[in-house]
Amino acid sequence: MSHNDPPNPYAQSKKSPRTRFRLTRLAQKELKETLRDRRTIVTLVLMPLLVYPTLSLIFKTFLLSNAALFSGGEAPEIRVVYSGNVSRAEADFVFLQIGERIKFMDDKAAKKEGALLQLDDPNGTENSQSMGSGLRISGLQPEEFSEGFPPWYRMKWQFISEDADPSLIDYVEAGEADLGIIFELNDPTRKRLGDFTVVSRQDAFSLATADHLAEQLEKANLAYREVRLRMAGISTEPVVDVDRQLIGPAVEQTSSSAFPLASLVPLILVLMTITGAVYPAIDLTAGERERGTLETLMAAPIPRVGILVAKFIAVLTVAIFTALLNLIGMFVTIWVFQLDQQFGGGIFDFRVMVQIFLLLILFGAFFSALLLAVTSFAKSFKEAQVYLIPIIILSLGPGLMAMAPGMSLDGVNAVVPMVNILLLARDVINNEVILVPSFVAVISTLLYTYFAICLAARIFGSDSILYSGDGSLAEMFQRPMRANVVVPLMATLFCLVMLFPLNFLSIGFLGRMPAETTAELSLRYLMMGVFTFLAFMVLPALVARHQHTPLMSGFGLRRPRVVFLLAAVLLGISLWPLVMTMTEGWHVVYGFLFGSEKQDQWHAKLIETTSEQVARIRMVSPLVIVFAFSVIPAFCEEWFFRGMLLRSLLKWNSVWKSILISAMVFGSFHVLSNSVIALDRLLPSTLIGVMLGYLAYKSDSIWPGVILHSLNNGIVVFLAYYQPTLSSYAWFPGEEESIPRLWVVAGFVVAATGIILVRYSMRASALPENSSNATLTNGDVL
Amino acid sequence: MISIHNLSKTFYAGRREIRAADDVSFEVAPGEVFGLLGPNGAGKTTMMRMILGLLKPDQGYAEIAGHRSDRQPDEVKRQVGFVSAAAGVYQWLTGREMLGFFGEIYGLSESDVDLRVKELSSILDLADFIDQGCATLSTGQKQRLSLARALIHDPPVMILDEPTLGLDVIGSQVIFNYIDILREREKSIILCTHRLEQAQRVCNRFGLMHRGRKVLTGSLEDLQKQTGRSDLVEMFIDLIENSNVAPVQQV
Repeated sequence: MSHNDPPNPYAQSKKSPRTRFRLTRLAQKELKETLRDRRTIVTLVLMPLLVYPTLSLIFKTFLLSNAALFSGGEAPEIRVVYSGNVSRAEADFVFLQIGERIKFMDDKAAKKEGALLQLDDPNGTENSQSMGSGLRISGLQPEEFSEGFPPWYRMKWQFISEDADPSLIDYVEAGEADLGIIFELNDPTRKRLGDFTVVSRQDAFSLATADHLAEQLEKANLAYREVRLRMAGISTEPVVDVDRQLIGPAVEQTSSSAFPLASLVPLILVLMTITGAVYPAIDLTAGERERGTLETLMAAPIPRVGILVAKFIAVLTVAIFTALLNLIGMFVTIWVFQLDQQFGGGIFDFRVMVQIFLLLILFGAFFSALLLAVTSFAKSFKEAQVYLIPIIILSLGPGLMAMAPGMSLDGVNAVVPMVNILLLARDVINNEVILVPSFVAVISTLLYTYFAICLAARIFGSDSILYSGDGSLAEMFQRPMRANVVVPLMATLFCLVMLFPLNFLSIGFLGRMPAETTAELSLRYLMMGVFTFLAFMVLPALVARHQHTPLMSGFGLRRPRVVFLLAAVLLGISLWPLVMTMTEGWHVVYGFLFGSEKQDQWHAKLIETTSEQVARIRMVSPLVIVFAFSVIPAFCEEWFFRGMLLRSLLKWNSVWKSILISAMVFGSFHVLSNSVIALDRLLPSTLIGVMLGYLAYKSDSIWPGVILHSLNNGIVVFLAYYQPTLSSYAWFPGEEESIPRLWVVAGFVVAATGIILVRYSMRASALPENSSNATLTNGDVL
Repeated sequence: MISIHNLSKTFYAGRREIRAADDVSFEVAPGEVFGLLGPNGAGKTTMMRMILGLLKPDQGYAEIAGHRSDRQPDEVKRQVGFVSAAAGVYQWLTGREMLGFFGEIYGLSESDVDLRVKELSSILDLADFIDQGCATLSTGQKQRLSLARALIHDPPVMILDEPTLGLDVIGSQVIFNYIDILREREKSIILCTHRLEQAQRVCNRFGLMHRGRKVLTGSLEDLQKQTGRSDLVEMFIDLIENSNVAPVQQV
């Protein structure tokens, strides 16, 4: 305040102690606003009320019928038709006799084991199997099956006479019965009961029941034999006693069941939590603009971060309410429909419930922040909805990924948003939590949340959102009237977004190319160069042209001072031993985080893929290698990352922020463009990206970077290329050895010299300076 | 109190270039109501947004109570009460809650807010509806509430963009009467309006804008001397008709 103003008692409270409480009050306002809106409450309350009963019905009818039989839970009834060369009364008599013998054996076994056999549970469910051809051939009604014989409670029996038409086989084939037994009574002395033929279809259910029945019938033989032996006074003591012991937690049972409930439960909860958070997120951001309150808010002296954090707290609170209600809804449903008996009672554990709830809060925080970042872009409710639908569908991807049985919470999975939380929740339910990866998952999710809030705060209420154009397609592709010195950030981001699918396209295309002979491989590597050229050089150049940006200024093509070229050469020849040491260090860190077993697996895989690549590279002429791995990537990547991207960023951001962002993008591209296994390249690539960014900034040119980049790439690839020859020299380390200390030290000294050269050289001046108040704006558009 | 230095802003809508503000400068002293007048699309709203720091000018800057809006946007915002016709209200909050919220944003204590709300509600006649949900308010009530909202921190500077848009005669009367009160309290006010008769009554000085340029400035007498017309309506019509004969600037 200047001294000639009248004192304003209300205008000076910036540092008042009340500021601390302000955030909660702001959040209170946002919450009031959201919770008084009936639409919030409807999604909050109604959804769990409707969704879970519906889901459980679906479970009951479709999923369990398959799962139960094979997971050893409750089984449905088995319909058996039987037939023979005897009357029904005689046949029933035979079965009763067999039944008694089986019971005799079962009782004996039960006495020995001290427990009853679980299989013959009298409480059959009402499910029936409708497999087979499904052709109804006659009126074989379910009620016509009789209750059956003592040990076989779950089986319903129906006698078919031998000469009946349709025959027993027809019934089984049509699926009106699950199983058929035909027996022939040939022994008039009745010492032998007869020959049994068990008839089944080839489907899993029929086969399984047939196996079960045949096993049971076999018991009758054993019983008979034992009785005969006893009668002859021969001991029936077994020669070998066979016992079984099960160790470890009963993991297999849950994961081998037909449906992985432990993975499904978190997914459903997560999706439901999202539904609760969507409406408030839109309402508090895009809705604010639509109602005309955004401008007023922006005219107030409060940092956007504060407003956004308040909104975030409100959305998160609703998300937590939703999560809680859904959790309750789910448990009530599980309890009411007795689903816990199907899947084992692990979910009912109170500790598990609390842990899942905490995870839901964490997830809710992450997703609320993500939603706010996306909806802050939107100018209206409708627009926000259009943005959110793909986000939600995309988030199903990781959700389903986490359900895959082979997935475990380690390596990359521990840092993939959503996947990590879902896997962690699954592990919590299965009681298999491993400390370090879980910790990594939680920390990374918190980091994502933080970044999303920062992004949202940056976008929310920026003047491009407050006062922007009509949102037409024409506007988007409009050529600006004026020439730009650097490519506008929006156009650069467009390029970046396009590079992502292009990258995958080229990987796919190259993967389909034959790669057996030298000629084929050479062609493939040259095509790789062509793709790199098109994606990283031609596309950005076209975009720049469209944006009226001269290549010279937009990409930094001017001739650099000699000192920067010298520094580039020094750095280019010295960075590789440092990078290799760093990669080794990362392996150690990886081992620490995820266990030495994982580390070994991963290392073996890495060596395998690398040596495969190297073997291929060695087939090709060195000239091709120079182009495909050194010159072209170096030039094209510098063109885009240090040319277009860094220079665009510098216009609106501080120097180090721009360099860091461009380096991080550069680093992630190197991971993406290879396989996921290339995660070890993230840190070195990013650091080299910082180096290159700094060099480009100081020299105001991409050329030193091109030199550094191609030297570095070239050295690394040719070390691998000539390894066999080089290894024959005594001073050169073998294939599996790490680089000598001395080399690392030498590399460090040379690199440091290079950096010092860059650091103490005067900066070339023409690079666009960041403007004093950095706001994300596309102010060129009305 | 308010000084505007060479503010310029150009928008690009498709292939058209729109000069929304073209090197505009003026000053407003305490106790002065500056009427920023002009036909639709003259660039008045753009001017106000730049003064507030909501929009970045291409050139020039605004200074309020010694703070530049491009350098210390928060200090500037603290000194200004801003009312615009487009301003909405929070439909799920009551009037009192909304005023409380903005009091909070401007850093007032709860007791200060209570005091201010009492004062404003008697002057602007809010008492009848201040505890109703904002969604149920009429246009006039909403606009009075918006004015109260802008005044909650008792700012030395007011920027009013069409504060009477959509209001009936009585409704506008309440607002203009209050502007009189504000002037008596030595506030610096920029007022944008199409109600020229009213403007003629409440404003001390005027700036007539057309196509981004400030065409005329001065007190009513100054303007009368310059144009030879007696009232603002006639000046306005002249302005638009003349410019149709000779367009000011089209790039």
